Amino acid sequence: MRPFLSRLASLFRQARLDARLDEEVQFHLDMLAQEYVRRGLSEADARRAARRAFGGVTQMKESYRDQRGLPLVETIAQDARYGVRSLLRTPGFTFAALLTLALGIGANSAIFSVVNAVLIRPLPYADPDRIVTFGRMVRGAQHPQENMDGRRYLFYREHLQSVDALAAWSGVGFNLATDDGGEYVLGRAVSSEYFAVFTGRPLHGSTFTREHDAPGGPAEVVLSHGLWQRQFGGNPGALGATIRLADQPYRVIGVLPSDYAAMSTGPVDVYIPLRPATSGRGGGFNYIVAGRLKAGVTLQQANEEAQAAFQAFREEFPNLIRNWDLGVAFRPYHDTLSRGARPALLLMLAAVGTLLLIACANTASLLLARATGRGREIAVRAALGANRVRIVRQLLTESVVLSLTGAVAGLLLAYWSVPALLTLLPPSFPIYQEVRVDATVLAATFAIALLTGLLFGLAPAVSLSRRDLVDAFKDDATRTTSSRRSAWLRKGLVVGEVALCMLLLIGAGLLLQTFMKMRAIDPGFDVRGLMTARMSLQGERYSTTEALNRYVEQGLDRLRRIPGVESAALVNGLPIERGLNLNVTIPDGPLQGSEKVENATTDWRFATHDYFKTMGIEIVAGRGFDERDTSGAPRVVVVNEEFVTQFFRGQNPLGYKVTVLDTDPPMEIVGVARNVREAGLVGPMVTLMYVPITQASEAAIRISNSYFPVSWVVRSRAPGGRLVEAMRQELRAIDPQQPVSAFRSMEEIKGAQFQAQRFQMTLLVLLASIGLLLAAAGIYGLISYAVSQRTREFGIRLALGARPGAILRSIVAQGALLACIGVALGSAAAAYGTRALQTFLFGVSTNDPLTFAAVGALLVIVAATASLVPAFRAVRLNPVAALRE
Amino acid sequence: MVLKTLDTLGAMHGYGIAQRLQQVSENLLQLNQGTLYPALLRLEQRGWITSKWGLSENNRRARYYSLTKAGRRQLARETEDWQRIVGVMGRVLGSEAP
Repeated sequence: MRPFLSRLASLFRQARLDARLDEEVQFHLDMLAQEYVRRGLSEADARRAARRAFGGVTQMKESYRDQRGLPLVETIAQDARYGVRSLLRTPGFTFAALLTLALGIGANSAIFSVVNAVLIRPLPYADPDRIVTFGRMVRGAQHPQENMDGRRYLFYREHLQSVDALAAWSGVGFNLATDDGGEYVLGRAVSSEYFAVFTGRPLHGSTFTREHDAPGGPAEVVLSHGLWQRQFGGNPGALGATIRLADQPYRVIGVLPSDYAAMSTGPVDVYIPLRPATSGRGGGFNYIVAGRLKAGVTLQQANEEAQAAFQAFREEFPNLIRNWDLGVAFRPYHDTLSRGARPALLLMLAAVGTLLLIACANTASLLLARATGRGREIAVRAALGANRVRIVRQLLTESVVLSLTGAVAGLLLAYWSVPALLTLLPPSFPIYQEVRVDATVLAATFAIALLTGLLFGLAPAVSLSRRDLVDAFKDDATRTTSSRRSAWLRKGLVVGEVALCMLLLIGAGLLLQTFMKMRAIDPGFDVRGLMTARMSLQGERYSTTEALNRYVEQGLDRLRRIPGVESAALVNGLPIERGLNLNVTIPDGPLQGSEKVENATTDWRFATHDYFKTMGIEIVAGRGFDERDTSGAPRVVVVNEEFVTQFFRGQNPLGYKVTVLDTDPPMEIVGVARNVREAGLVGPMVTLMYVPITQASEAAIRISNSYFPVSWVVRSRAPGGRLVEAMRQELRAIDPQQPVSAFRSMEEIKGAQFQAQRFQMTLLVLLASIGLLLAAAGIYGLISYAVSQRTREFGIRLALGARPGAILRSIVAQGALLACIGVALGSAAAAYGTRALQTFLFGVSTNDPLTFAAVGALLVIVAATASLVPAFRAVRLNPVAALRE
Repeated sequence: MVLKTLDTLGAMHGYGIAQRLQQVSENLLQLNQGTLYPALLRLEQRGWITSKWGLSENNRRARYYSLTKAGRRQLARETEDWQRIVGVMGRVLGSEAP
C-alpha cells in the first residue's frame, strides 16, 4: 500500500523529482570522475571511465521512472495529450463528431436526470429504505391496493409488530381564509404516527401526539414552510395563532422546515389530525397507510406477519372480507411511488439509448473515414516499437477523449433542456423530487461517455492497427486492402444506423397516431368555448339547500351578464373528471328478484337548470330540467343512457321512481341524457343521475361538498384571459371568502387526459428527427467518400461520352440501396420490438402497416436526397481535371 | 546490503554507498553503479530509508540516505532470516562432511 501511495503522489511532482535525480546522478558521476583523476587518469579519460562504471544513464532513468510513478496512468495521460493534438489537426471531423456525440450523450443525460429523480435518488427522510406502504392484496391485481378503511387500519395498527409506527393519511383540500378573501390549499389529514414515519422535525413548535388521534381531540394544524411564509411572513409568532380552514378554526402548533417535502405532485401546505375512526372518512377506503419497518426486520418477515394478521382480521370480522380479498402486504414506499412511471421511463430510456447507438455508429463511421489518412503515422509508431496493444490503446484513448469532450457539451445541452422537458411532462407524472443535473447524473454521464468512446473507437482502432507496415508506406495509401475493408465496415455502419433510425421513426409514428386518435375521441358534449371555475364549498355556509341555491343563483346571474357569455351553469362534478357516487335503489323497476337494482353504485350530480344546454348534452328522451323543478315541486331526476342500459335493460325508464340515501324522498325519472365520458376519456361508461340543485337534499349536499368541489361552467363566444378575470371578479363580488381553486377550459381538461401520450409522442418525434438527421449525415458522408474514390473513373466515363444522368442515377441508387437494406432490417426488428409499446398505444396496432410503409419510404427518400449532393458534384466534374488526379 | 551499509556507516549519499559496497565485496560484485538508484527508490517507497539534501565532504549538495526505525527492524529481520538459512545450510553440508 505504501509504495502505491508513494507512486500516486509522485505523479504530481514529476518535474521536481526528475531534477532531483539528475542532480544526484551528476554528483555521482563527478565523484567517480574525481576518483579516477586521483588514480592518475586524464580529465577526459576519467569522465569516460566514470560513465562506464556507472552504467547506462538513460536506461537507469527509465527504469527509475517506471519504479517511481504509475506507468499506465502516465502513458494514458500522454496518449490523451497526443489525442487532443491529433483531433485539433482535423477540425472538421472533430466538430462533426463532437456535435453528434453531444446530441446523443446529452439526450441520455437529460432523461437520466428524470430517472434519477424518480427511481434512484433516495427519499428525503431518515432511513428511507425502511418506509413501507401497507395495502390490501386483491384478486387480479399484482400489487397491494393502497387504500384502507378505518376499521382495518385500527386493527392492523394494534396487531402488527414488524413496524415501529403505522400511520394513516388522507388527502384534503380547504379554502383557507386570508386577508384578501381566500386561498385554496392542499393538505393531508394525518394520524399521530405520520411524522415518525415520514420523519420531519418541525422548525418551530411541535407535531401531533396520540391525543390528536382521539375523537374530539384538539383542532390543531401544522403548516408547511411555504404557507408559513405566505400567510405569516415567516413570523415565529404564528405559533398559537388561529387559521380558518373551510370556516373551521385550527390552532397553529407547528411549522415545518423548508426542506421538508411530502411526496406529492402538489405542495402540501397544511397537516390536520386525521382522527382515524370506523365512520366518516374512515367508513370508506380512504386512508393511505404506511409504516416504518423495525430495525432488523426484513420485508419478507414483515409480510409473513401481515398475512398472519390478515387471518386474525378474517376471524374477527368475517363479513367484511369479500371473495376478492386475498390478504395484506407491505411494499417499499419508493416502489409504490414510482410504479406508475416505470413503463414510461423505460420507453424514454430505450429511445435515447437507440439515439446514442446511432450517434456511435455515425462517429465510428467518421473515424474510419479519417483513419485512411493516418496509415503512415501508425506505421511509424509500429516501426519504432509500439506493439498492437499499445497502438490500440492509444487510439482508444483518443476516442475516449473525443467522447468525454462530447459529454461535456452534452451535459450543457442536458442542463439547458431539462426545464423544457419538465414542462412537457404530464402533471400526473410522479416526480416528487427535484429533477436536476446532480452528482449522480454527472457520474452516469461520465460512465456513458467512457463506454461510448470505447464502443465507437474499437472498430476503427482494431482496423487501423492491423495495417501491414510496408503497405502503409506506399504512395497509394488510399487503395490498400485495409481501406477496402474499412469501406465495408462503413457501409455496415450506415445500414445499422438506418435500421435503428427506422425503430425510432416507427415508434414515433405509432405514438403520433395514438395521440391523434385520442384527441379525436368524442366526449359526448360540445367541448369548445367552455370555461370552468372550480370551487370548494366545504363548510357550514352553503350546506343547506336554500343557502346553496341562493348563492348559486346570484353567481349565475352575474356570470350571465359578462359580455360574450351565452349560458352559465353549475355542477358538482365535471365530465371526464369523475365525481361523487352514491347508492341508488329502484324499488319497482323492470328488474326484480336477483337482478333488482338495490344499492347499486351510481354517479350522482346536482346541476342547475341550464346545465344540459350549457354543456351541449343532448336529451334523447323526455326532458331536461326547467322552471317547474323548484324546491317544493315533485322530485325529478334525469339519468344517462348507460343508466337505462344497465338498470332498465333498454326499456323506457320514464315515470319510474328511484331513491338514493335513506333520508331522501324518491324521485321520478323524467328524462334521459346522452352518454358523456364521465370517467376519463377511455374508461368504461358509468351510470349517472342528475338532480336539479333546487331539489338536492341537505344530506346529499353535505356529502358532496365535503369530498368534491363544484364547478361553475360558462359557455362564451369569447373565451380567454379576459373571461377568466371577469368570472373571478364576479364571483368574488358575491363572496370573497370563496376562492376559485382553478380556472380551466373544458378543452384543457380533455387535453389533460392524453397529456402523457402527447409527451411520449413529442419526445419520440424529437429523437427520431435527430436520428434521421444523423442517418442522413452518415449516408451523405459515405457516398461523398465513395464518389471521391471514383473521380478518376467518372472522369473517364464522362470523357468517353457517358450521360451525366446515368452516373447520377447510379450514385443515388447506391445510397438508396443501403437505405433499403437498413429499412428491411429495421422493419424486422420493429415488428418484434414494438410489442413493448402495446401499453402506450390506442387505436393503432403495433404492426400498423401504414406506419411501417410511410416510415420506410421516408427513409429511402431521405437517403436518396442525401446521396444527390455528392452525385451532382460527380457529374459536374471537369473530365480533364478528374483524369489528372 | 544497502540497509546494512547505512546501519554501519550512518547517513550516506549514493556514491558513498556504491563505493562501500564495492569495497566490502572486494570487487566481486561488479554491478553498474547506476542500478543502485532504482533500488534506493524501492527501499524509500517501502519506508525503510529516508532521504534529504545535505552537504558533502567537498561542499557539494548531495542527497543523503539514512535508515528509519522501520528499516532497522527490517534489517534485523532479514539478518535473522539469513543467519537461519546459513545455519541450516551449515548443518546440512556439515553433516555430510566426513
